[in-house]
Amino acid sequence: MKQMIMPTLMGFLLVTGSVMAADTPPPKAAATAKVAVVNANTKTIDEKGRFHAVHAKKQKLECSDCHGGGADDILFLRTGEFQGKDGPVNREECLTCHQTPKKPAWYGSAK
Amino acid sequence: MTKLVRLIDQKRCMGCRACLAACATENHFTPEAPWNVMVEYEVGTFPKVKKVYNTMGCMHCEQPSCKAACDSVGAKAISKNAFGVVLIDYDKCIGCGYCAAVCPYGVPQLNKQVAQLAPGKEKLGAETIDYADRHPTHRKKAKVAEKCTFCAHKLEQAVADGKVDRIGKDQAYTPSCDLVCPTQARMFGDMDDPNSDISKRIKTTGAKQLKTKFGTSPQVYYVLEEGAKS
Repeated sequence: MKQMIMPTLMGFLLVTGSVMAADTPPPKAAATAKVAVVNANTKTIDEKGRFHAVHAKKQKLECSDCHGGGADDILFLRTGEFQGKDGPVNREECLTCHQTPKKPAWYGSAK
Repeated sequence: MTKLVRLIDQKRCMGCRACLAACATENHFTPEAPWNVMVEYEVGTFPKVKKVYNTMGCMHCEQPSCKAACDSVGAKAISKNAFGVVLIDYDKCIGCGYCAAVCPYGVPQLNKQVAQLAPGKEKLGAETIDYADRHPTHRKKAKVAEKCTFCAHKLEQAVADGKVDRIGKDQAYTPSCDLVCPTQARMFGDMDDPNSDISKRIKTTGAKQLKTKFGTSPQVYYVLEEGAKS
């Protein structure tokens, strides 16, 4: 009997866990991102067009996912950095994927 | 456990930038890629206006987005040690810049070239030590990311000397920026110890972390000036 209890309990927890996870709406950027393997190698994000190649072309993010949502951000160490003509990138959107506890399952698939 | 945190009191800071100068000489940061900067802005409306001085270095987040990005590209150059210090391994860094792109505080810097702190003048601080003899965080390389280390070389010395309890108290074991503040606006120590000076001061002043909406749980606390941005 005891042998039956543990697998049953584990199964119940897994099912309820997945249901609870499904109740949480996915972050906007993560929801629109497509599963694409990005090969970083030694390419730098500073390379012209690299940022858009990764996020817009590979991951199919919408322009509005990054642009236009950020308020002027003075609490930013790299004070001279260009923040974009449509306003700075809203880093809250970046962190829908680029953060350990919230990262989507496909994140980290780069080779 | 030891959780090292920094407290910066904006109400005491007068914007002298001694902390920036101390960091520059201690850590030999390249002028184009500073580890510590002073952000200034005004709050209030005339005639009641104030200037806010907000020094910014690495926040050594408990959930560092830079590390998540670095791990995702497979470089695994960024680690978080037992004290909660986030460090970049220059030998593993591939210079992709993803850490810089995702950090909500704009901290990591892609150091395009290793330059002398004061070009044409005598060498300063870590520059005077032979490259091979320097601490790994001072063995600068071009085209890799770098940032504040909480003066990891001093913290490691405290561990080696068995003086972890003196971190934040002794000159040899305390980050240089926190040592030189003439108004005692900066403090460094163990927040896991409820009896430490920094724990008490964070509690009594109601110090806050910046940009908590990002959920990165930074390990730098600010006593905010009235009307200051957080």
